[in-house]
Parts: sequence; structure tokens; C-alpha cells
Amino acid sequence: MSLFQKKTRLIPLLIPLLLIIAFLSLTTGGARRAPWYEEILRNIITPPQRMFSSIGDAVSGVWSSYFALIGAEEENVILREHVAKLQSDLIRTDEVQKENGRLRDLLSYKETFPYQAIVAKVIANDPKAEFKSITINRGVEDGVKPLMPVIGPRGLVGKIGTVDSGSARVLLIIDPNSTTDVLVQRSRARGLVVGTAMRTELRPSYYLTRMEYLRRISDIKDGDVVVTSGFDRIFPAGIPIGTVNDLEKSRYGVFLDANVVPFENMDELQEVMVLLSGAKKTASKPSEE
Amino acid sequence: MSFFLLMALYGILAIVLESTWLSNLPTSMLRFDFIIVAVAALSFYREAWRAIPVIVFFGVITDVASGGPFGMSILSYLIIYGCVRMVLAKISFQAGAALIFWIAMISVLDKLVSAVFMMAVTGRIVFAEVIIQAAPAQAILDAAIAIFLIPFIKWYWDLSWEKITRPKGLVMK
Repeated sequence: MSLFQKKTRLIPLLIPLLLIIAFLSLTTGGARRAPWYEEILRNIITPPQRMFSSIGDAVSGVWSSYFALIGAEEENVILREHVAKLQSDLIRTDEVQKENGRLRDLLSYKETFPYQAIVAKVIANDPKAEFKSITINRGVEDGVKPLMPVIGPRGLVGKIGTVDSGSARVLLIIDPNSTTDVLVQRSRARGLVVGTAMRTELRPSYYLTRMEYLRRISDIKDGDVVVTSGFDRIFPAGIPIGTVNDLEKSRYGVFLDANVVPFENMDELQEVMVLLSGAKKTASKPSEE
Repeated sequence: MSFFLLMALYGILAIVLESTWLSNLPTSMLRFDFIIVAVAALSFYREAWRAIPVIVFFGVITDVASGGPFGMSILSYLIIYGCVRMVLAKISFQAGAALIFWIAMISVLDKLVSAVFMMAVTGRIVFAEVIIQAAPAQAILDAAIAIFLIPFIKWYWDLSWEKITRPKGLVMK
């Protein structure tokens, strides 16, 4: 085989590599308005994600209610027929009640922040296990912009990453790409909370974050509540993040490290609230679905 | 043309499933990865002019749907393709057990590329810890999925409207 033929065989590999370089050079950071090529693809992926998410919610509602009905049958056979007739209504009511409860929690929590906020529904999770992000059904059209804070009913969830017209990706605080400037609520000791994407045995089904760059002389102990400091100009001050566990005091070194278990269970998030930074508080926009 | 269309549909459906219904299955750190199996199948069985565009597309949609840096999956999948093509003449992959072994290796390679890439981009070692911890179990899962998925993919990419609509008797003839 001649040298020319050998070289031409490499062309199919070189073209995509050049494409990658082009794509990478266009990428300026995690939080940004999605470029046109990403927006086109996201517009292809997001509608089926919304559909699958809705179907999934409906199926899980039917599934959980089905088991509840089996219990009811065993307890009272006479009511079986009646329960069967009302089954669909019960399922629907149950789901609406649960959603109302979650939204009420979010709204009451929101009252503590002087910011305009919108409720968003989680429509998809990250397809890659090593990254922790979620996709929400709010985008530029709803006033969502990169780096806006996202909260749940118990505390901080993350910040907006890539945004397109009708959806946005939220970088969760448990993602290894995430960094948040924080304070220990009791002593005001300052540090950074970074994601680890690792589960913790301290609280089953919760993920762990790490508090880093704490000064050695900082007053911190297990059980302390960690809140946002507001110094990073991304998150408003005082949003609860989690509690300190496993303080690491090594003999040497300038800083202390501590594990922080977030208040929010990121796997169970269904609705979140986006704080529209800088805007004055008005009535929230209801969720679409 | 139908090959590219079918594989595009496969990729979109796989990403949608992985990010919705299957996003916490079997666990949140261990996922069904239909894309990596398809990348392996394309690398093993299809010629470059067909495989590369589809692999790039798979990488792009994975990067678009994921919170990782854009370009990471494209790079990872193309490295996998390049590595497979380099060793293809020297390895046995047609037999079931060998194929499973190579799929597991491809899965580990994907995680390694991701770990190195993330460490290079962020300068933080935590990514490598997370990724490498999950790699062995993910490799076994990917290999197990491949047992069922690779025959399906090989049947699927040759699918045509004629094959679906043609009467069964005619096919037998």
C-alpha cells in the first residue's frame, strides 16, 4: 500500500477530530445560552423527554395506587367494586394532591426570598452517571438565564447551566463541576462546597458534597448547618445547603475539609424553583404540567 | 440513507430513555448505556464512511443531553472507534465470550477517556475517583446488555421499509 493510500485512510478520522476542535473552541463554559447546533438537537431531544417523563409519572402513579388498592381489597372486600369504579379518580386525585403538596412546600419556602421565582418541572436527568444535572421545562422564553439559582423545598438544588428557548439544564450542587461559596450558619466560617457525585452512607439515597478551603481555626462541628454566603454573586445569601458530617482534621495543611450531606434528595426532585436573580418578588408562574 | 435515519432514531430514543425512565436504573451510578454498545457494534461491523458520522452524531446528542463539557463524548467515542479499528485484525470478537470481553474493555476505555478528559479540563481528581469506581460494574453491565443488544442492532440497521412490508412467504422463497 502506497504512502498516499495510507494517508487517505486517515481522512475519515481527521474530519471528525477537526469538528471536535471546532465544537470545543465554541464552548466557553458550562453556563451559557445554547448555541444554534445544540439548540436544534435539544429541540429534538426535549419533546420526547417531556413525553416520556409524563408517561413515567402517570405509570408510577398507577403502580403505587395499584398496591394501595390491593391492601384495600384485603381489608374490605365489600368495597372492592366501589374502589374499582373510583380507581382512576383516586389515582388522579392522589397525584394532584401530591403535586399540590410539593408545590405548596416550594411556595412557602420561596416566601423567605425576596426574589421573583418560577416553578419548573424536572423532565429529564443526566444520561451520564458521572455527571449530575437535570433538565427543566423552563427556558429563555420564561426568563431563565444562565447561572440563575435553583432551589427545592428543602434547600439549594443548583444553578442554571445551558439554556435554550423552552428548557434549561440545571447543574446540581452534587455534580463535581459545581462549586458554591458557603458559610457555616452558626459560626459564619467560610468555605466552598463542591460536588462529588458520590452516594453517602450517612443518609441513604442522598449524595455527598465536600466543604473545602475551611481555615484550620474555623469553628465548625458535626451537625452544623451550611448556607450560601452570597459572596459568589450567583446564589442569594442564606439558602440552606446541608449539614456538616465527618470533619477531617489532618495534622498538617492549611485547610480543613468536611463532608456535607445536602438537605435535598436530588434523585427525588420533581419540581424546582428558579430564582430570577435581581427581579422583584411577584406572583409565581404555575407549572405547565 | 435508511441506515443513517434508523441509527439517528436509535440514538435519540436511547438518550431519551437513559435520561428519563432508565435514569436511575439499575442504580443512579450504574446505568444502561445503549449508546456505547451501538458505538462498539459500529466499530466492529461497519465500514468507516457509515460508522464515523453515526458515532459523531451519538457523541453530539450525548453531549447535548449531558451536563459534561461539550465534545467529551464525541472524543471518547471516536477514540474507541480508532482503538477498535487498530486492533480489529488482531483480535477475535465474533465468538460470544470474546465479544462480551471486548465490550467490557470498550466500556472501561470510555470511562478512562472521560476521567482523563475531565481531569484535564477541571484539574480536579474527584472525577477520576467517581468514574473509575463505577467503571468495573458498568463494564459488566454493558457487556451483559451487549449480549442482547448487538444482535438487535445488527438486525435493526439493515431494516428497510421493503423488509417490513414484504409478505413473509416471499422472504422464504
